[in-house]
Amino acid sequence: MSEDIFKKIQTILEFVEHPSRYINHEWGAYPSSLNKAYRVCLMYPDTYEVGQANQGLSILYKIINELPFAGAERAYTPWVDMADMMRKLEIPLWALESGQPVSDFDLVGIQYPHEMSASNIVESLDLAKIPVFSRDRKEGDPLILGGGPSTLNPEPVADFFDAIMIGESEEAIVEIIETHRACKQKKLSRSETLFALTQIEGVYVPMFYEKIPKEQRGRALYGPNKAGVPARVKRRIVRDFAATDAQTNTIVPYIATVHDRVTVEVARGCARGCRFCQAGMSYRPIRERSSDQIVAAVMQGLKETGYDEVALTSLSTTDHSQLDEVLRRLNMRLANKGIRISLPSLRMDSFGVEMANLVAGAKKGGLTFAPEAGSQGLRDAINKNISLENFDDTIKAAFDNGWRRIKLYFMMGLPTETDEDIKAIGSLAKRAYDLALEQVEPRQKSAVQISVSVAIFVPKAHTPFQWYGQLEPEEVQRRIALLRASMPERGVKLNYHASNTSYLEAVLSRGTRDISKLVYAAWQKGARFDAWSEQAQEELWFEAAEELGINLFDYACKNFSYDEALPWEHIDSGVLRKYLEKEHERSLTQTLTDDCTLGDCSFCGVCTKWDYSNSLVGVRRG
Amino acid sequence: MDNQGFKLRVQYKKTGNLRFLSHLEVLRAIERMVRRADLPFMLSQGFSPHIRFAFSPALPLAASSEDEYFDLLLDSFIDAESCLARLQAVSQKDLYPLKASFVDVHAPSLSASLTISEYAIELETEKLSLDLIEQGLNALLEQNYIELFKKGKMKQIELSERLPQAPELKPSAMGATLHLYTRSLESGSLRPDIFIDKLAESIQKLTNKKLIAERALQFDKLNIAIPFKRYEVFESVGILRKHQYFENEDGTWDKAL
Repeated sequence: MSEDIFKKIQTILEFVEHPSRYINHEWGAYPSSLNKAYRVCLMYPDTYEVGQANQGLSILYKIINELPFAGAERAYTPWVDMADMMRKLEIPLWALESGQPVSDFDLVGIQYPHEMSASNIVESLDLAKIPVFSRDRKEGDPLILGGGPSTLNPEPVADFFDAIMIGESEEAIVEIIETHRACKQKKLSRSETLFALTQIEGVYVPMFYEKIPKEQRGRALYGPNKAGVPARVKRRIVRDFAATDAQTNTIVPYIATVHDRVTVEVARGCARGCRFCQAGMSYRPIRERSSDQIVAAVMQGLKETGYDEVALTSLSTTDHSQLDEVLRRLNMRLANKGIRISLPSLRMDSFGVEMANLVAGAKKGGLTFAPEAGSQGLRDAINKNISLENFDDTIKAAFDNGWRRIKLYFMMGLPTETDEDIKAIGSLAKRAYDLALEQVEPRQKSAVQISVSVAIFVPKAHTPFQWYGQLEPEEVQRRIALLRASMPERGVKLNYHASNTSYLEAVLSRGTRDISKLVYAAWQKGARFDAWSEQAQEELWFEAAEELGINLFDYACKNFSYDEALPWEHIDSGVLRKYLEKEHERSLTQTLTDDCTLGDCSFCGVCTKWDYSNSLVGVRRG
Repeated sequence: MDNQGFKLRVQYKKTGNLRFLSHLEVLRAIERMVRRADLPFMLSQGFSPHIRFAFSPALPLAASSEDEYFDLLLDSFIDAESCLARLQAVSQKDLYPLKASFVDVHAPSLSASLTISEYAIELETEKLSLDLIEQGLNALLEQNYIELFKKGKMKQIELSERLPQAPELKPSAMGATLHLYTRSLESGSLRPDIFIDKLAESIQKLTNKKLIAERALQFDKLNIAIPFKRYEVFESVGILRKHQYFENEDGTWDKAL
């Protein structure tokens, strides 16, 4: 069935905001996949501007399109104005390259990037006229595959996916496509096909798992209901990361996307071991690309796209053992071309500022750092290894080198936090301000700006803090008031996030498969684009929870004890349970654990249990 | 003596689905096209060096064009044919360079001096006769003044000084084609889409009907808001800019390249 939806939407494209969200023909886009034997539609559950910038999907887009028999196209969630018109005019969601309905594809891969994108997953499936629940799909429907960072606890969206890829998907995607294709040729049924997919490492098929009866439960809440599927689905890791393609940007969008630049992933994994951080726990081991590979990828990327900015991404780019060599080489190659290099985050010490200096232009904007906690004690408890000396050196170096604006990120509601820790945020900010004033000439003092951004801690699966519930809403309000009162009178600007969204994030982060019902019910009431402040309607979620008899407080705030079965334990992140427990105990005594690329192995299990190892191209700096 | 650079003027078209790009999106796309083409562009001095471009006046949204221009300052000389070939090699077919030539570095700026635009506007209709559209057009021209909402205020602009040549209406397969010539003035330009909205209004007055087009009636039933008057009357409106001209003091018109 072939229908060009672009023909149908010509007039309504003039009626919507940013029509370029819905058109194609970008430089670097692959052609329509219509003449390929196997067709994949890759979807990011947000607008084009947000989704097109996503590196994970860019990687898959290129890999799939380079397969001889397969083609990949893209789709994004239409904004509310277009979505409403599509429903009234009965126009189904289309893929951009061909203008063909998404429901015509063999495989639809939808990212689950963060908790608040859940309702958009439902919205996208509904607009595509694909049955929203996996159990309702028939033989002719595409296979709906999930992936992305939040799948480490897949249960709150499990009902919407036929299969979910856990971990790094470069290799798994090819295996999934080849298996699906083979099953199609053998004319296997949908459930036979899904069973075949369970044999691929990293693929979780929710229909074959259900709640284990209470008497039989160990650590996991969910377990197999069919013989032959793994009790725990192991996260997929790309062993030889350096062998993968470093240049993954192909498409040059017309619309301004959130990251309008060449992005080169310089390393995967982070060894600092911050105890709140799911990414740090779940992207081990640490694998770096060589400086040759990075420089070549940057030059090739700029040549093919024509962007004027390049970002060197990873979880902690300024820890890369050859970063200063990379930056010096790039500065030479890119001299006088008006190209900016950006680093996503900076380590908080003088080396971080040194690296920022290498990429700074003549005009310095602002620098951002993440101390996360105001007091040394709490920083040690969360294993954020930043001493007061590091802090001071960083601030002094920044202002000494010409920066005038610093942003400091903190969290509140961290485990073991006390009122003193909250007040310490204010004192640390004041300390930064005072140090800054000492470094600048009197006439520049008014240009000094310290801004503090405080987010509410959301407990995450597969971290040492996974047993903690989120701080209760009333206590959050009290501590925010305390925080505000402890800010210095001048020089520091405070921003903090709406706590209702964080509350719902906690529900989705810690939720069971029962939360899928909540996601659906909230969507039915009109919830979509929950990550956009102009569209977020938290009351819909609260209403839906009440009607379903779901106790949001229990999901968000109730602690788990060590012997309670966890809703995500059937997913194996590679990190040993006993490592997480040990790290949790160390947090209670504010004991630091070494970065394993610098100090001793902390026996997290990824290398020892699964025979992986860190792969560094040089010696890291402590 | 400072290198003043070499000013390359490029004519390009904007067609197909890419007519939905906003002016800013076009500018961004052209900058990237120039970087991909590896032309020796001159960077501005100062804190954030950028490529030195100038562009012809913006098109209204959803208008396509066969005659758009940008000027680009190069700091070393490569012959114009090679520049064009390099640009074409890295361009998408719907935003595509057609001609390139060097012009005087001190040539008048494109945006300020290309004041005359020639449009071919496809008016799709099954219900309206050519006669009726002609009547609507004449009534509008006689009226001579239209009201525009600009910067929060109602503003009156005069048509005759902005229409350097009389608009011509011809029959077409889809309904009618209007050839429209506009002159932009400092005190405000006449956008072709606004002109068609006013034409639609004029036809509505003549027929005493608000919703005439089939699509409009369908949208109204489905509760879809129609944001532009032209879609209350016409099934579709395709605006194509065919040419832009400089207007000389003696009233003659010159092309940009």
